[in-house]
Amino acid sequence: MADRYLILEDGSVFKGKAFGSRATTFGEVVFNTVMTGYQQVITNQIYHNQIIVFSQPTIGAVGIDRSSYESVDPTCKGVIVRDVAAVSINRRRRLSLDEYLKRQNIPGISGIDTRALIKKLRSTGTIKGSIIDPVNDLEHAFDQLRAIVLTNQQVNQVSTPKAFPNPGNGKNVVVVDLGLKYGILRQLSQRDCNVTVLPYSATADSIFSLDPDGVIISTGPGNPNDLPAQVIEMIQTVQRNIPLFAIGLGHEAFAIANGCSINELSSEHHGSNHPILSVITDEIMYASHGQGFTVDPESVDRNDLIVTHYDLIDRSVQGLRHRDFPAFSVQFFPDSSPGPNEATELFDEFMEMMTTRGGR
Amino acid sequence: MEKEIMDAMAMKRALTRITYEIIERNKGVEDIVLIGIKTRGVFIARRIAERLKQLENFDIPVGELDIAEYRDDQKSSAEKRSSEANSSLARLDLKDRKVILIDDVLYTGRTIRAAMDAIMDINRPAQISLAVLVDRGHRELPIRADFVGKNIPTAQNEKINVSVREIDGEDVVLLTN
Amino acid sequence: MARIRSKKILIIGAGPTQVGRDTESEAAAIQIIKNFAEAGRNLYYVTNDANSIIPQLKYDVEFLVDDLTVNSLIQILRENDIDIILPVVGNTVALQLCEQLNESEVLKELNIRTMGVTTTTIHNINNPELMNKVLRHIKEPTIPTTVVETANSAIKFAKRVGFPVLIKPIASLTKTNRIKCDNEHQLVEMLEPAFKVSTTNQIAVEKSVVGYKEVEMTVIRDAEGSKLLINGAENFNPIGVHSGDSIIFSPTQTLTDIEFQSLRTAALKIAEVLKIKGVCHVQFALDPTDGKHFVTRVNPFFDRTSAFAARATGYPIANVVSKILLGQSLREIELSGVQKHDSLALIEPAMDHVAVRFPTWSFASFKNADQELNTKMKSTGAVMSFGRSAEEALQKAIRSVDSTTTAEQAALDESELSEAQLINVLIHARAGEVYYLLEALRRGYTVDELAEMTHIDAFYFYKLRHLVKLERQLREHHFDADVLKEAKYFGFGDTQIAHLWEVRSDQVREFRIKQAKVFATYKGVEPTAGEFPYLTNTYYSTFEDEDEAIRTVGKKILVLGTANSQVGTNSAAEYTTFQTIKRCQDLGYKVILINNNPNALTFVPDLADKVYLEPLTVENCLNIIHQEKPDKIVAQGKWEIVSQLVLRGVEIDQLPLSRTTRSENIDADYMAVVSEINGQANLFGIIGINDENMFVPIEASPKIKRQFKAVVMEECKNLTANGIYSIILRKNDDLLEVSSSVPMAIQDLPFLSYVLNQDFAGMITEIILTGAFQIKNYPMMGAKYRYAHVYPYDQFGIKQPQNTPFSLAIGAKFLSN
Repeated sequence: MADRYLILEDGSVFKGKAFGSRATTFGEVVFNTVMTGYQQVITNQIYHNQIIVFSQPTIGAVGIDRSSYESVDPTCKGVIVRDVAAVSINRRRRLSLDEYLKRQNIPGISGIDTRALIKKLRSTGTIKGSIIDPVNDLEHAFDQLRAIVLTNQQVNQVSTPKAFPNPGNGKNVVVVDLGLKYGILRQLSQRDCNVTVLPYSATADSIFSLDPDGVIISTGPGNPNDLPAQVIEMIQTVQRNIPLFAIGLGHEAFAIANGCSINELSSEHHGSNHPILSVITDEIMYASHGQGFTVDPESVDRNDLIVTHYDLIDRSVQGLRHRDFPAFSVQFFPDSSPGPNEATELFDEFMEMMTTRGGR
Repeated sequence: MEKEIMDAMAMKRALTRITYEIIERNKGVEDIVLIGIKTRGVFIARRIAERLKQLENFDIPVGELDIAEYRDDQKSSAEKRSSEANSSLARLDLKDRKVILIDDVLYTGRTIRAAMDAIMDINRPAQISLAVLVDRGHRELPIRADFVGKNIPTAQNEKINVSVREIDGEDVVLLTN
Repeated sequence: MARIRSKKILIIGAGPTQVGRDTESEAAAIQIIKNFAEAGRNLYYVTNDANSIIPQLKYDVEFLVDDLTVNSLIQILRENDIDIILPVVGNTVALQLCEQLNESEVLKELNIRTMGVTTTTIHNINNPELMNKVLRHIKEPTIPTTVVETANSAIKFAKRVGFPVLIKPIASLTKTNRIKCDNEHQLVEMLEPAFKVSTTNQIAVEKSVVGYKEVEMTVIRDAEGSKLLINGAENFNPIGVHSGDSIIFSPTQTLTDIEFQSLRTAALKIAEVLKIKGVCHVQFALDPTDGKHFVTRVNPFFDRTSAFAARATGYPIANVVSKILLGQSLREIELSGVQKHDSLALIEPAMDHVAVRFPTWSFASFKNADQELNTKMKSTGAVMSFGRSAEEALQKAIRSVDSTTTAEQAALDESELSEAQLINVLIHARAGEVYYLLEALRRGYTVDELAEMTHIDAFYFYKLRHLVKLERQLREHHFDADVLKEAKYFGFGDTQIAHLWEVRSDQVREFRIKQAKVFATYKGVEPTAGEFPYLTNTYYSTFEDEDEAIRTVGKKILVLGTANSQVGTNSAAEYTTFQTIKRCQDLGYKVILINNNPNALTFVPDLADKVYLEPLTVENCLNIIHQEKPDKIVAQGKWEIVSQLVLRGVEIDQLPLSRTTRSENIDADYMAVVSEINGQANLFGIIGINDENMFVPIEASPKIKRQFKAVVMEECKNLTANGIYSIILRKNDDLLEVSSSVPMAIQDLPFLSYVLNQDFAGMITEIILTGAFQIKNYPMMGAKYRYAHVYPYDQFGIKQPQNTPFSLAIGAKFLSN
């Protein structure tokens, strides 16, 4: 395996070995502490513009599984790990991670002291990094890294340009795609929903014209403050009329639509190890997180919104519910891919909400 | 034949949803009084009150109502007024409050009617609404639930059995015929 | 003000160490007792383990020596007015006893409740059919199982679900494992003895899931129902080999997220339905073809798996569980290590390393025993190791094991092993299997062939093949810095490399340090995978960029731990090291410990000031000595390593303890325990001995008794070095004679310490470190005690010979008088 370097904005250099694509890549370096499900993480479109560091020491052992994609075309900028399983013959006839990343043109780098890297990231916060070939002129590489400006149009880049259906025989659900995680569609399919996925630019009217029983605002990448105003307006209109469930970036947008402000986290939080308190039942659950932003708890107008979920470790707002409308949202990923599946229940809650309140 | 209609998770979810619906429809919970119809309705009422307390940090009064004496199809009306069974209810001030009656199963509607009679005997609330865990149909009176955990269409000869963990050891709704 | 009488809590111990149970139960007991005692609870601890450390603890706990039988427990319950029984420390022994106590109605009569696990749950767990009912209730798939009272119905059932089937006697008098029957003939043969040991004349028969993946999940639940997963661990061997005899990896290596999450959810559901308060280990069989699972075991108590989980993740399971048992909720319990945010015990551990548990064997001492691995556990100890890749962790485990096994491995390199012999091992797993698998890969067997023959997941063969490839590179490139670096990165030891380069290990070390500049770095073991700043005192080595272990400041001492339990020294060695650490601390030292036994007493949090969870090898010791620059180094046993270190100029204080107890060939009647310090002799007491036991009080004629003091004191004049000695005495008619004088034997030390009410391990440590010890005379305990060694012959399926050598004992127990 060829040598590769990981360089960071702060001037640090890590030497490792290439896997996946050999392209040079730039992105924000974020770490993820999930213990299983590297494929679901890598294919999650929230990582648009980002290079993912896995704290789990070895990835790749189970290859690429056809039922574990979170998107068809992953848009993360790179994968950093201590050890990638060098499985040369595919287990269960599966594509190997190495081969998959080559096909997707995503570079990987292994042999990195990821623990040291993660400890650095937790103090520097999110910083830019680049995976490059060995070069004589590292200074030049650093100049390039510092010069690069990452887009803030991620949603525009990952959202589906055209509507598409995911047919079923049950409830009629519209999913607004801000960078959709397929776990959401799997959960709806399991509940036999008839789904139409719309681009992020969908208007309330275009949604109403499909006569949905419920609307889901999906997960997605980037800063919610960069979302076009029309997304926020759409949510404001839809929530008054149709049961609404917003997830991840969708949750942040739902919060903005109801007057909250959003703060950037000093260090992004990706993993499934934090206990989440469900306020109403006073119970603990776990789910995957993937967030760089959080709802400012001070900004939540308690006359309009109820905080339904908290992260018990950092006390961040993890769920909201409107007082007057059948509309709720969660910051974490309730679809459990990857990660614990106790929060999939929220989809059942959504189904029941559609049953009792559906139809205008 | 016994069929599980709701398991513990489904019951939990239904109560959670009913709680949110109560908040949604009432614009504030300060003037709400929950009245559980004995026996299992009381436990359901308490659980909803717990949830409201969690969300709103507000203690919602919970009353208990034993309507055995009020059933028009079971007891003579002479006996019913003298009952002291509902003394806990008598202590509650229902005047101008929004009463939410809570029962496990809504069937003919006679229980609910009796409950309304009992409440009216005590005081005159501003409003009475009804929340039930299961609506099984076959109404004999013009009564409709405002909050329903689950609609379960049943045949007359079938039975709905609601178990709650407080007295039955587990949360489950069974349909038997 | 009148105080309410605090409830009396009886903790049931697990009894002596034996095959299948190391010191993990006692380690859990120490932590429970510490937390309970600090909370002012009224504690009783009952065991018949003569190596129990509990009487040496400074906590307020009544130590009761008694048989672990239902009758003696009933007596204890009555005599001591017990209110609560804690059955989660004493493994299956305590659980079985609780079940019997419950059946005897004595719990009801005396209004005694259990803590941590209800009697209903205990009843369910002890009865497969009831357990299956519980599992079906929570919609968990169950292995077809039935309980039969006749051989005919067993055969009928087996034919219906298909062979192989497993049988297990219900309410067995003895500890019994499931027995696999491949066909009707075998079943018929095994049924008869099984019926015999069942007290209820019942046998559980179940469909065999041999060949499935075996996966362990460890969860914690509190009284509120909050619960979390501690870790998942995956057996290298499929079902069919006892999980105690399999190499185990954590985190799981070959499970998809979907498979993993389904097992996690199932384990949490089980802890919930059984209303466990504390730790629960659930074992699963996972069908490798479709990812479906069955529950194969539920252990709602501290066992070797939860001990491994605590070590592997750095999550202090026993301390957290203690607090749960004391009535706190997980939301109130803090992890003291987290340096930021709310440091809740509810953080699900994330690992950024691979942990391996690796069984160790004693077959060199039991040549006649069948070494084939099956559902009956045969390993006598275990080591564990950490690495930042599966290869590194496994390789470190391989070189953790004692020198005899290394020799075995070395011999295998140029092995004369015939192809047929090799194939036989591939098909029928045997002790030390991994060495044969490596050899097969060297001989060119493919990954797929091996996976098919062994039913071990192909993943592991890729990893082993990688090691073989590195081995070949090393063989072909002597003193090549890049190859060396790569090999070190994946866990090769200097000694292994030296063997492949055909040089001395010092030459490798010198080349590595001076020329290749490859140095060990140390990483902290903590449960957040680097997400939060975390104060940990446990480190492991790898070869990466950052070194987290900061040299300990102050007066410090390095203690070489006991490593894997072995026959002979057994749990007495851990006991001794535990006391040595305490005494070093009393003498003002900060203690740095190297140890790698996942079940070790000495891994109890808050004992050593710093722990290197590392293989006890010369290389690692030298690295750590270089890292820490200790003022002193002390060792107990570990003779091979100590002598190697001494050869390299390291000064080590070796605790003067005999490796074996009194010679079994000598006719001996008494043992005098004495100290000899700077010419001052002191007699602690006289112990009676015979072929099998040691006991107090002695039986001796007045004539003999009168001679003791003089004979012993005379003999003490011959003792030149300061220390604690056993003087073996023999009576010749009415004459007392000295047979021999030896330093106290390690196996006898715990028993002698208890009956003579002394801390001999501490004394010996102090003598070695300071040159002297101030003896205060204590009266000998008045009670009657008798102890005997425990041997593993039963588990090995061989007959115990006459005059069994004491050096083959795996534990020691008090006998009832």
